[in-house]
Amino acid sequence: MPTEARTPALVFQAKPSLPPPPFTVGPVAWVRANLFSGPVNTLLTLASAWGLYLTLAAFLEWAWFDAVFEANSRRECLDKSPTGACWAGVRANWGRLIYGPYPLAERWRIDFAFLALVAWMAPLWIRAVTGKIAIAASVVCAYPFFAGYMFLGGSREETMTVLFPAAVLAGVGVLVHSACCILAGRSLPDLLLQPFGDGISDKSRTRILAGFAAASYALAFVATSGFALPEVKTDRWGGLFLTLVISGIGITSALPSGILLALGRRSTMPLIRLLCVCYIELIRSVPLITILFMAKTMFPLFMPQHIVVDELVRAIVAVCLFAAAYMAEIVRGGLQALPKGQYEAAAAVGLNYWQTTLFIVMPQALKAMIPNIVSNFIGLFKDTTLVAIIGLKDLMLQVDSAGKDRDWLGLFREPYFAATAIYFFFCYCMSKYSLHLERKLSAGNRR
Amino acid sequence: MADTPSAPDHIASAKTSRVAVEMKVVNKWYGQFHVLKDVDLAVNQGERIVICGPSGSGKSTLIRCINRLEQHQRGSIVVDGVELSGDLKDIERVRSEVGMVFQQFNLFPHLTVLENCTLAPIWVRSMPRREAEGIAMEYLRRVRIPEQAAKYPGQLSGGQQQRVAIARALCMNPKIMLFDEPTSALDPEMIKEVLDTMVELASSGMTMLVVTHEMAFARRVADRVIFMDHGEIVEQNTPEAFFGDPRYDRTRAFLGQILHG
Repeated sequence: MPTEARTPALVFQAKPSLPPPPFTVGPVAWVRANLFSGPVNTLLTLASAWGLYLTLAAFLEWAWFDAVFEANSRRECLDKSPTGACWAGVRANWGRLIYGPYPLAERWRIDFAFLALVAWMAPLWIRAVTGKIAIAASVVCAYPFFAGYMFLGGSREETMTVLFPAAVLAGVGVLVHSACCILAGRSLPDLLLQPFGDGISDKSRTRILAGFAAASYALAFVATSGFALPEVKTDRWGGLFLTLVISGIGITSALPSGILLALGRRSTMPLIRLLCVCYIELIRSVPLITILFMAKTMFPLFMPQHIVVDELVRAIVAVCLFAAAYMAEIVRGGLQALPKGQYEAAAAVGLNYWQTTLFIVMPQALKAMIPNIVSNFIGLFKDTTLVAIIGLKDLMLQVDSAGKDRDWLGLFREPYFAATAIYFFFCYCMSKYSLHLERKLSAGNRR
Repeated sequence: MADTPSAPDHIASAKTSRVAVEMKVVNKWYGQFHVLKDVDLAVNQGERIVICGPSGSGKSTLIRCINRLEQHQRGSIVVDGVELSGDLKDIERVRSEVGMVFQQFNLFPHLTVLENCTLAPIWVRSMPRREAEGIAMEYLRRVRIPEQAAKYPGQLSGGQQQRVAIARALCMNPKIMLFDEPTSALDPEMIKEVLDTMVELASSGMTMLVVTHEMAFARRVADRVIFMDHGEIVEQNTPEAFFGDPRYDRTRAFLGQILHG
């Protein structure tokens, strides 16, 4: 208060900060506080250490010290070390685990398509590259046709004749565009339009770019017309490759279809709402394996005889239908968590339903639901092992068949261990990436 | 009102063009609860109206009916020559002409301040991004926070957020502005900065309907003060007459409560 200005003010001086007393911070303090904080905890710590030592020692002995890494058959493994793991068997069957019964000479196609996917998606994580949404869209919409032909091969039918060159063009376009962004700092359309000067209208810009696209499509069409691969029918697809195909398509389709179903369930239109509720509740109340069996055995009964749908396609559709229902409920949770004020504010500035959904609702709802969405993806990835039951040769079935091979008869433990490691790798990566994404997205609007 | 038009509601004649909002015998129910009872209200262009009343009196509902955040069940509401009915196109048209500021700000937390301001002009008015950003910066300067444009709403104080909300609404170049208790969620020391912005806006000739308990603000800028209770307009008058000589005992009791409470 101003009246107190009569007496001179006392000067406040903060005391200097002192270091904390010894053994309250640092590793020693941590060990003391968490492991040996009392007689009971000390006892528990020692007991756990003893238990850990017993199991870990036995495991290491089996997996490393007594293990056999070089051998040509299980017999040889057992002769060398009867108590150790026979990793030689996993090495010999590695190709089978990854590619299944896919012909040896054609396996490069899978590798190539996988590397193409990596190259196609890598620009999404490079800061300098512009137009990330278009790139992501091209991955989802164009890559499947490229990969589809790479995997399947054979003669291209009508749709594939048109779409395969388009997919190749899209992929090359993404790569060239990314290179332009990184090297020249300008986007591909910018560079293409440069010779025409600055003073051109938006309309003629679109026309010129469309012209470029048409010309390069013609070029791609001619260039790929001579490109043909021997056919590999889907019954020869297998291993990790098949697992990734099924779960990749399932995961990619789950999000958009789940969003649509969730929006439908909250729609004000009664018919749409009813349909969505029925679909979601029906699918969620049935085990995945039932849906897979329906797709395998019942579906052909309902179809006219001349319509034959590939077994793998049926299984993939079944997985997609299943995943969509679960995703829909997760997305609905995110929608419900959004405050009503956000809808009102969006309405008040005049945004319509789809604009509100796209710009206001979904970014917030999906961000809030990242942990659940990724959990669902991980679950779906592991659920695809069920396709082994309807006879698709996925990773799990390949593991099983490794132990039935003539040279490696009875070798089950090690391939299963390898499968565990593979599943762990993929699931752990997804989980880690989701955490990273959460941190990154929440950094923007910290409270 | 003296110049209440006699022309049919759906015709935007020259006579009605001076009227920004016209409500006739508007009734609304929340379930069994009759929240608006035979409300008649005409607001002229450029007029500044302050609506006050105890909580639950229907004042928020009244102004939320004007941009159809709430749907009225009986009567008619004509905003800027457009009658509000079930027609989505009409509703979107009215909403793009009417700005609204909420008690809880309701900024979009995942967008920066600038993006909050440019989203609607770009997508509803199909404005080029550059132009929208220019206009947004202009309004952010007017509410005196251009330096916060790149921040997210969560990084701002309540008063700053509310000023962004005002700028966001102004970016659509609205003909009418609605304020739903804009200062009720603010800390005391931030109320002034928001009220100052609103006073400035009022002096620019904007048509404003403000639900507020800030009676000093009402005295200073309102052309007309409306008192509501139990879903009805009890009394309306110029601020001088309203505060100096309220006619109804209910109004006196209310003013006694909030002015000397």
